[in-house]
Order: sequence, then C-alpha cells, then structure tokens
Amino acid sequence: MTARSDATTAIELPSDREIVLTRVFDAPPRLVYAAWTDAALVPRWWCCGDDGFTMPECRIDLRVGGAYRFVMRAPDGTVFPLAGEYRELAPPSRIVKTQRFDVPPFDREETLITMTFEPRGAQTLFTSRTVYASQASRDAQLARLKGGALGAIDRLGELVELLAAEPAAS
Amino acid sequence: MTTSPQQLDATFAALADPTRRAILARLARGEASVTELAEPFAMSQPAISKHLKVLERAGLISRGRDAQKRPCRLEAAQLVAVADWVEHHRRLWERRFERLDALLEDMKQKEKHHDRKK
Repeated sequence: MTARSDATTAIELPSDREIVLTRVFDAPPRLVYAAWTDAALVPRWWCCGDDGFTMPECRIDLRVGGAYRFVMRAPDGTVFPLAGEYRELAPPSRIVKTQRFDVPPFDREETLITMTFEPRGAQTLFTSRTVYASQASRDAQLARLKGGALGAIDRLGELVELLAAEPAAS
Repeated sequence: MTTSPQQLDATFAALADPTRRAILARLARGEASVTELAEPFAMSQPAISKHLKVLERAGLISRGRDAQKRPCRLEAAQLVAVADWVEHHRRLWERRFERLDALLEDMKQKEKHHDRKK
C-alpha cells in the first residue's frame, strides 16, 4: 500500500450502531453514482482484484423498492452474497438502501445504508453511513469482518489518533 | 487472545462517547487516578467513575488494587482488537476504491473521446 492510498479512505465510528466511510474520487458525482448503480460497472471494481475473488452475480433493479444482489466468490469457493432494496434514489447525489448478508441466519438482520455523492470542484466526496438495526446484526458483521488474531501492538498510536479525532459533524 | 463479537460490541459502545475517548487518550500517556482524570473534564468524580466503569467492563482499562487511589490504566490489547478491526475494514474498502479509481479514469477518458467525435 502506498502512503497516498493509506490516507484516502477514512472510517469513523460515530456511535455504537454506525460506521461512516468517506473517500474523495477524482471524477464528478454523475460518474461515481453510475459506478455504484450500473450492473455492468459494479463487477469491475467491487471485487476481482489480484486476491482471486470473482463476482459471479450482480443484479440491480434500479428503482425505489427494487432489489439488488451482489455475490462475491472467494478462491476457495465460499460465496458472500449481499442483497437489499433501494429506498431512495436521487441521481447523482444520494442513494438510501437496505443491506443484508444473504445467508441464514444473518439474512434476518438488515442494515440501512445512506450514500451521498457531493461535488468538490471536479471531484466527488463520497460518504457512506451504515446504521445497524440491532446489536445482533452488528455482531454478525463483526464476526465476519474482524481479522482473527490481534495485530501488532504498534497500531496503538494509530488508534489513539482515531480516538482523539471527534466524529465529523453531520 | 481472542475477542468475542459481544466483547467487541461493548467496546465499540464504550468508545462511542467523547468523554470516554478523551479519558483513553489521557491514559495513553500514562496511568492516572480518578481525581486526576476528573480535573480536565469539569465533571464530578462520581460522573467520571461511571465512565470508568463502562470502560472497565469493555475491557479498555483496568484499575489498580490500591483501595485509596485505584489508578486507571489503558488496556492495550482490547484497543488493538478494535484498531485491528477498523484497519481491516478500511483496507478492504481502500482496495475496492482503488479499483473504482481506475474505472472512473476509464469512464472519463471514454467521455472525452466521445465528446471529441461530436
């Protein structure tokens, strides 16, 4: 990872039920919005890097109440299906959708994701706010995402920085 | 050491409060008594004690045995578990967004090319 890429994506935990992700893209909101909503474009970036993951399915019914389904497949064959429904679509500035990990018993728990695409000159400030509906759904998320063994103790400095930074006003 | 999702959940809840984060930032510089912690926050000792209990339950701090002072100490392992999780999550997205950068560049080039043809 380069220093530049390490500095770009920011994660904040403004409360125990939320995760906020921010990133600036060097393209106007119209294009970033398209990359998130066009089923022909999503598989080109959602997965499929050099880590051996593929995206065997990407379905998007782009209307309020319409469903989407993103399926990732790991090199060992394990599939990770994410699915949900669009609640609000305001191109090119805002998307509100539900999301669930589409495998029982996790599929009973949904999160609500609000994504905004704000113009910053020729660039876009992208913000994604995920609100966990219940503790159970976040536990499931944590269990899936937490990287097993604890990392090196030298990450402490980084965490203290994170702690010192107040959540962005929103 | 492993941390259960429930434990991590309690830890995130503890970290959601700005006063508790400030207490942890203070303890990162060295252990402190309740009196010392209460000073910069313009808060009563009982109010600070309540925050300390939450932090202790979350595994983020420990308290000394000395009945009088009970100095508070940062528990690095639990903080590292949180940092680890946040960093893992952030890296996953950063890898994904680097691919999106490349796609957006491609889309911009195609638009330019298209505009020129008009």
